[in-house]
Amino acid sequence: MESRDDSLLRQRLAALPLETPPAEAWTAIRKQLEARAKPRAPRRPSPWWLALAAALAAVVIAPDLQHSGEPDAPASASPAPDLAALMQRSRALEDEIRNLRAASPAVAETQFEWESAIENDLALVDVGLAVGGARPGPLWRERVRLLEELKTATQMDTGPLLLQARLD
Amino acid sequence: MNTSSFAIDIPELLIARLKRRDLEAFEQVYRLFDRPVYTLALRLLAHEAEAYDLLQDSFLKVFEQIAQYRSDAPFWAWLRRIVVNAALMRLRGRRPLDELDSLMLDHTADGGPDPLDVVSAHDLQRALGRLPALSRAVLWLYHVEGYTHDEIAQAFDRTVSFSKSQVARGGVRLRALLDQEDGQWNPATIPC
Repeated sequence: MESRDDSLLRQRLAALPLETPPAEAWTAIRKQLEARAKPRAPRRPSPWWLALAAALAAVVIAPDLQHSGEPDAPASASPAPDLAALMQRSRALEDEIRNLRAASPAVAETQFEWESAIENDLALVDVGLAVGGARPGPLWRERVRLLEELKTATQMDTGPLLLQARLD
Repeated sequence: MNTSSFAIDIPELLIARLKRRDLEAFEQVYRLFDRPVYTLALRLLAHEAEAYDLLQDSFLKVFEQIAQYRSDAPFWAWLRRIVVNAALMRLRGRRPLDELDSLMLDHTADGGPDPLDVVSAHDLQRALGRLPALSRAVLWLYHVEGYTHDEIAQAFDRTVSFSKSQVARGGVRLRALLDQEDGQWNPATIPC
């Protein structure tokens, strides 16, 4: 139970008027924010090993495959319906992510790390698809799942917790 | 009872824009919180130039650390914690707080009328500014910002007893200062 003394003191202190900062404060802050808002890192990393894997795939594997554009098209000319749906979803997600990034080119450091971690996994999946195999379905499903995650990462900054969960 | 001027809820959408480093959103947030931040800085530091620096530092820190903000607590509480922590850092950089505190003499109530009943806002502000930094900060956080003794103990890295003692003594000392307002009270004249 609060005493009368405390209650009065609280009332009087709380009733003191708010102070107004100098008018130029926001201008000074804004100037510093603008300097800090510049992108600190490029969005697209290009891992050396991904370039190497792509080069190897082009030299060793590509002659045997009949695809272009998509790094991971199945060997058969007409994929199974569920595979076709996955490929279509994959293309749609890539378009969405490209548009999101075009709309917001700057990226915070943590988010950049998160996106890079997903992209590294995507690169592995793409290498697997480029090598080919009898059952591309699971790899396509994983590709779509990773792109969904990448889209989420690009859309919003859910930050260090998700990054940590991924690194764990 | 929450008497904090910080208690302003802002829409999730605005927070999302902050996280995307949208400067217009930052300006909106600044305009909402500039006075609560500056007032808290002034009350804790009792120094205009330092309060102005703290205002700028706090908003720049929000910009840098917004990705770390989680919506399980209100944004205003997160912002206030940034301001309080930064203010306490500055106070620690001044003369030792305990030394400043020891410059004050305890005052015992003399049974007369409570000076808080009649004091003007201006005189109260002046007396508050004359309190030792430690007492002033604890008193303000407890009575106005609604901090609990536990939270104060944590912020100052002290015990709960410390907080209770500072709140009690701070109130007595503030009244003593108000009593002495007419007598041109000057802490520098008090023998250590």
